[in-house]
Amino acid sequence: MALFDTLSGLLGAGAQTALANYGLNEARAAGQEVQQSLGGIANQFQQQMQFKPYTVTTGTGTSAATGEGTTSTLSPELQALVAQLTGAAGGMFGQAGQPIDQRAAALTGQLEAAASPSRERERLALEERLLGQGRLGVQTSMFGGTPEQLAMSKAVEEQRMGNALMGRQQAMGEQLQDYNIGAGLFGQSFLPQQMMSQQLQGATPFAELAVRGQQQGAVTGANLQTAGAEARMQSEQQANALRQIYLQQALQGLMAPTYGVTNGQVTTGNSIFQGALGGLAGLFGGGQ
Amino acid sequence: MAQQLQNITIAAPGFYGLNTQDSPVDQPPRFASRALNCVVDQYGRIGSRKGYEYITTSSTPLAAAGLSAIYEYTKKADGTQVVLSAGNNLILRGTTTLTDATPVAYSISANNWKIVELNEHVFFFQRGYEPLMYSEHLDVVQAMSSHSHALGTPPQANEALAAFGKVFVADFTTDKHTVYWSDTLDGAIWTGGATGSLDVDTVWPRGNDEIVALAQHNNFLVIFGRRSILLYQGAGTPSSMTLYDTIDGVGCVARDSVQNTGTDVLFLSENGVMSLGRVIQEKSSPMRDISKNVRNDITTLIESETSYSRSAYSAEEAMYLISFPTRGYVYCFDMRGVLEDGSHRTTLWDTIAPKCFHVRRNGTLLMGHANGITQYTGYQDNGSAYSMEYYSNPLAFGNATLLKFLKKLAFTIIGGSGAVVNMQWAFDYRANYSSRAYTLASGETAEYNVAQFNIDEYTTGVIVTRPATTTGGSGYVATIGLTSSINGASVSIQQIDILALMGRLI
Repeated sequence: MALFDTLSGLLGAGAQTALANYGLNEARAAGQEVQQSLGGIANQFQQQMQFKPYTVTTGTGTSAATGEGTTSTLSPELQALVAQLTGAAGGMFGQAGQPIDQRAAALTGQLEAAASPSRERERLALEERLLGQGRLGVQTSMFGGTPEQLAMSKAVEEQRMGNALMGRQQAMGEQLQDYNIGAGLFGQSFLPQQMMSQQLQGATPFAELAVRGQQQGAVTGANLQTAGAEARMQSEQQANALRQIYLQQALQGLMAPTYGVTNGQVTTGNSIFQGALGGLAGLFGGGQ
Repeated sequence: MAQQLQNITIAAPGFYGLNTQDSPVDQPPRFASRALNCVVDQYGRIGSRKGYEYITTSSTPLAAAGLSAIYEYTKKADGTQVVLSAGNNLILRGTTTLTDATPVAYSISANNWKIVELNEHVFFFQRGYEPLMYSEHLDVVQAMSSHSHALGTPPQANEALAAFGKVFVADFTTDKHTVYWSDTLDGAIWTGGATGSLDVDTVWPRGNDEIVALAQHNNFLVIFGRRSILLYQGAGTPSSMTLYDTIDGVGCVARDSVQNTGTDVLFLSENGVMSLGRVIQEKSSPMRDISKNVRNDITTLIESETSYSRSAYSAEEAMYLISFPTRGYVYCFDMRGVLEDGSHRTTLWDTIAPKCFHVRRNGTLLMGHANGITQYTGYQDNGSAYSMEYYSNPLAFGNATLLKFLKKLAFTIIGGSGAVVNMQWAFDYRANYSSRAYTLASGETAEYNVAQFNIDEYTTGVIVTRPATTTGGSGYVATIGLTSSINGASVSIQQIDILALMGRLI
């Protein structure tokens, strides 16, 4: 009995240990499987979540969004227009940047040239009048020539001063106008690019939708797979637990005494394992 | 058959003055072919001119070189006169005693000064010389640049005119077409202010001329060229004065011939003595001159004149005188009236020979002679007798085809007082006059320089003499003359009566 019991005890303890190890191994294997499954899901998600380049092509040109950024390429017509606009803007800025005196002098010269014929006619008329009056040769300390000549000279000088002032004002106005035109042209030269940007920006929501769908799909898939992995892990754990219970119960069944009814009484007998061991012991001479 | 004697009366013979231009036969007898040292007096008679007397008694600086210019300035402060004159390359001062008033270190070698007065200053201009000026406040003659308020470069002009409150000058050595004017009321200022100039080179009607003289007339500035005249209006403001008119073909040839009579301007042109008033009125008509009756005589004198003609207008004597010093002639134009042809009565003086004239403020006519200032007065030339001559034009007595036999000749002569007159006649344009002398009645007819205090006088005794003579000879035309030596008394011819017998026809 003692040996039997001892051996039975040892075997029972060993079975329980083996059962425990089995359950441990099962749980570890299930975790590794889940880890591997999640890793796969992560890889899948990473691939699915990765930016997908896209291009937008309109009449303005083609815009491409890549992982490194965006590139826009205007249509040749617009490129030529942009070049024209920037060139014209450069010219305007160049004109606007000219010294004001130079421009004013040029404009004053034009005004003087415009006034010159009438001035010459008036001068000749005065000369004729003075000649008719016999006063062409008048020189005076007060007026230089005649009072009329002085008046005309004053008028001419006033006109020249007015022309100079007008020329300067006109030059300033033209300078401002050149600047404004240049600025306008320069601003217009960016319009195609702005349009390109806008078209890229306009296409971005659609790309985001796609990405969002992908992301959503990926997240959903990941969630599902995670949930699946968790469910598997739970099922594995349940299965493992059930297996543990089963094995525990099996082991307990082996170790539990047998009950019989004898004569209406319950009798307790050796466990199966004890029975098995007893048999073995009997075989090998062991007895009690 | 003998004809009846005809009495032909020539009243106021020579009253029209000289006429050497028209055909002598048909001329009215009131014209004279010769009127030497005569004037037309206030009664319309031809008579002897006055003589001259020296006012100057001491003329050492002049050295008998003669005065070529005289000017009398009346001081505004006290009304006294300062008589300035020029001669012997000096500026002289005074009347009875001439003193040298030439500025120190001012060298003169010519005496053709034009003297004008403006605002208490007297200015002397002569071509090529800095102007001189006498100022009342300094009472000295000095070079213009030395004067206290002189300004600018004094113009070395030959002609000057004080008018319109300015001094106008012209005729420079190298510029004979520009008129310069001074500042207002200051003839010593020639820069700044209201000074100025007018170049008339483009104004001459013939394209080219040279300024000889300037004048003011009818508020016009008159610019005399040698062959044209320019009239500017509004010269009070020269900077805006305008040409009013140009007169072509008539100009002035003698700077000092220009005289303003108040209503007219007389000047000597190439064609004789002209009236600017008439010229203005008749600019579109054939030109007429006041000396047209002696036109050729005067133009000959103009051509031969090598010195400077001077002139004078005497309102007192009502005459315009113009001298021709080279020949010693003076033409006298009576300014009392105008003949029908527009000319003035003209006489010729050949012995008075003044070098210059000047009419004083009191009307006295001064002249420049060798030894100083003389005055047109009396009936002697510097104390000497002079000859008066009158000759009629050849008289046909209405019919040049009839032979005339002069029987008697009678003159009615006013004055004379003992003078000897020679009645002369000749026939048929000849100059071989027959003559008969006659001594006029004596009497005091002229009382010049005679004191009247405490002298009882019943009459001034106008002497009227009717010398008459029988005459001989015959001819178709007869020339009547009368000559007289004027020596202290005037002689005037009132009337000539001729008794003639008309003979046969040619």
